[in-house]
Amino acid sequence: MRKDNLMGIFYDQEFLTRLERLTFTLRHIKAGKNSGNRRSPIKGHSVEFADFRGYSRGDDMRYIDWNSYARTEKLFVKLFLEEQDLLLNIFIDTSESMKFGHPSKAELAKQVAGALAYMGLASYDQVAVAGCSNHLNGLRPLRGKSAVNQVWHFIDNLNFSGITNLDLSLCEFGRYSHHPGLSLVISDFISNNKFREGTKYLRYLNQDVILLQILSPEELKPELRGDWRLLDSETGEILEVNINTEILKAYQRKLKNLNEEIRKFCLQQGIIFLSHCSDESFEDIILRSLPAAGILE
Amino acid sequence: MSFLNPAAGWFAFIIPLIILLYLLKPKYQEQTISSTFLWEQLIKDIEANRPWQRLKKNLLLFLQLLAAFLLLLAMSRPYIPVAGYNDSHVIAVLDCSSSMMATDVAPSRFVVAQKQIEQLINNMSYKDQMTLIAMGEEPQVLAAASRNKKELLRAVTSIKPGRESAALDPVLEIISALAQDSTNCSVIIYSDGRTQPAKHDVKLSCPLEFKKIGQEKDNIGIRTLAARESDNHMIVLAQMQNYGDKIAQVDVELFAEDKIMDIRPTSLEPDEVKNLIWEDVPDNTKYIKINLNHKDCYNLDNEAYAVVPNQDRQRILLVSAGNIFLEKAWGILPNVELYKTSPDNYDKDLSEYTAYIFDGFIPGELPHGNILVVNPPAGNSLFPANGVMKNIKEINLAASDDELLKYVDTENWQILESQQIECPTWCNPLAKYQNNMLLGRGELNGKKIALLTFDLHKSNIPLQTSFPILVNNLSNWLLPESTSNITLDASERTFTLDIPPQTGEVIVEKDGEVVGKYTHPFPAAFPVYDPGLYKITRIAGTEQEVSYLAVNQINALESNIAPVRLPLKYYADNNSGNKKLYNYELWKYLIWLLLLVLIIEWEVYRHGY
Repeated sequence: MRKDNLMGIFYDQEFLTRLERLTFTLRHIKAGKNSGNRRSPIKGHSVEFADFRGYSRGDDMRYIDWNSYARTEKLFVKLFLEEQDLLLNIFIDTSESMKFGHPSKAELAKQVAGALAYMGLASYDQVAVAGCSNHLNGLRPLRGKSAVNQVWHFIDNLNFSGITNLDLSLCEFGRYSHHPGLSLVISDFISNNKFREGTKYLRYLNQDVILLQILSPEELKPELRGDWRLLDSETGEILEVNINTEILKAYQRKLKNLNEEIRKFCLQQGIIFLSHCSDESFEDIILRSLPAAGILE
Repeated sequence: MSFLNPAAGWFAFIIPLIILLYLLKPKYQEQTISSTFLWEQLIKDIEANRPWQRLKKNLLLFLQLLAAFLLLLAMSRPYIPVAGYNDSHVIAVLDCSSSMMATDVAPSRFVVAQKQIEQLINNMSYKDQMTLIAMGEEPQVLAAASRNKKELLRAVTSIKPGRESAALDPVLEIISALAQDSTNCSVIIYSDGRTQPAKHDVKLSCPLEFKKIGQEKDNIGIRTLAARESDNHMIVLAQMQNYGDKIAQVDVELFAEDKIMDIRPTSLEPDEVKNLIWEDVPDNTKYIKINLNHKDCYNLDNEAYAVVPNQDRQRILLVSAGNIFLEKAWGILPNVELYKTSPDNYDKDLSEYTAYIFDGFIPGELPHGNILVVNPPAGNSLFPANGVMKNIKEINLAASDDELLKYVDTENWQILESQQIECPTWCNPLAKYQNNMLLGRGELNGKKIALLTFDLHKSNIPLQTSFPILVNNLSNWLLPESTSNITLDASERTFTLDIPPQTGEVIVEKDGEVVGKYTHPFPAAFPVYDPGLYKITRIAGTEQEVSYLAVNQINALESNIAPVRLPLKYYADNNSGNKKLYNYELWKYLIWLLLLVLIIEWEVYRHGY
């Protein structure tokens, strides 16, 4: 691991070892196209016994359970779990607004993405990382621990600027892959619902979708008082406002409502929604929050 | 409410100015944030692209407008007309009689009156002055024409209600004198009207206002309590009255010393006076107590003590060659056991008598007891005679209010012949003829000595109705009260005590606590304080003599607590015409309020509400 690499600064060996012990545990995890270390819902020909079923013409004679035939005089075929790889897609919102906050939302997004990518690569899964603006700017799926540095380098060098339209960028994913897998979208999701169509499209592509919202402390609890001219970091729009306690309370109500709407949408779509503050430690998110949400074990 | 400085209204321009400041768009600080998406939805109303914004509900604006309004109001010097006595001399008279302790107005009439005077003092302007008079039996001027509010307030709070009735006459005399010296004077009397009526018409040169204090008349009180021994049993008489206007049920409790003897439920019609008699009280009881177990507005007359008079007869030796008048007059006195002897048989060893009457004789050595000398012989050293006066008709009373002359009519006295005696320095002449003493009394070496300078046989005095009265007065004075007991009424604040020469110490106790300890020289009168039973112990060496003194708050004038008009003829209750209105300025309060609003405004600004 290169120590000058941003990721290298944050990941110690002990943490990486703990990451390697974690696996994705989503209920509808989709099988990849290659064999891997992950249990696939598809019954196959590995060594792990799964079930019996009655013999039907064309079945491989090698899997007939002759002991059962001896007892019942009926032919049964033994089924085995097939171990296949997982296709993990990580989408990071690279808009200007992600640079906002102390610490910045982008920093936490990169750390979480790097850690999950490492976990996938270490499990011999396929990992694809992409930055989302109005377009998708991504890596092709990589596999194996040897690709870790490449993935981390890509994440490190993501350029957070401009405007992001997740609907547009996620819809481009279909061009690159039609295989089922797990898609993690990291963004602040403060937009006029410009992510719903994209995430629906991911679901259409047979992806298990996780939306990870990262908000800065300044967004969660603004400490502005008095007369302010607010500049939108993405659009440059200006808003003049006299901020008092009532306005602040209304802001927080609005933010809460927004998140409730996202959560409701996700529930309807079978999507997992998680919200975190950028001042939280990424280790906590990986080792506690994601396992608690049933994503990792 | 009016304004002393309405010109300050011009300052009202500050109010639109403040509103304008809120209407004008403020100067903004710039801040880049991640997204204005949420803010946009919140603040559409302030997004208007105009030089002024819509006036919103703003606490700071409200507080600033309020502060400006208060400042404007204070500058206008608002005032309210208050009934008072501005730039004047108020004579406030507070009734201190015991009926003012009635609790029909909480906490008591006296305290309510005190509060009203305090309010009057607080409303005084710096030009006003006040004289404060406490109206008791004797008026007391507590502050004279004072402008010092602190002094006046201190004086008001220092007044305590007394046990006696208030007397109007002396107060009116003081007011009359004060009013003559003051040009803008007015009088306010705070009272329930239960005062001794004014005997004289008083013409005041200033208006008089009566502030009637009190509402109710609900009271049952003891009017009389007496106990006497008769034929080996004791009779107790208690008289009580319902002063209220409702039928009252009361349990009358009789205590013999400290033991309860009887509880007698009694019903009293409005204004009914009822006598209760007990005849089965143990005959050796020293004092009794009556308690009315009843809650009313005036509790002081619900309890009374009576000390049982001692029936020991006093031994008196009459030394006379023969005087039927003295023998008869002294012999019929109920508490006197009269012994007689002639001057020839008198011996100085006859010392066991309480008092001696020497008629036409004075021994060389005076005995220990008190002495009445009648017709002192010529040549005696005690009352040396200069000659003889004859045909005495016009008698001058040197001290008509003396207790020896109480109820004694001397107008028809005629004396044929009397010794002309020069009055000794220790003796006070009570009746004189041409500057020569006829009747006198005094104390010499602890002995009481009274003197009649003439032979009763040579006067018409024994034939007058005033003679037995004079003898009775003499016996009351000469016979010591050492074993007899006394009862004082509400108006008496002192009692006298006959103290034998050998007495070393007198201790006065009430409810088991020593309230007075006296040694030589003993005071002429001993003070008493609150109503109740006092135990008096006279200590002479190893001997102690105990007697009791009952001090009762029995006074029909005070017990009848119904508030009435002052017993004066000329004043009018509703004399509001005399009352003046003055301008009570409010700017001080407004400034304090303004300060408070500014503090709140600062805190609101600091917390960014």
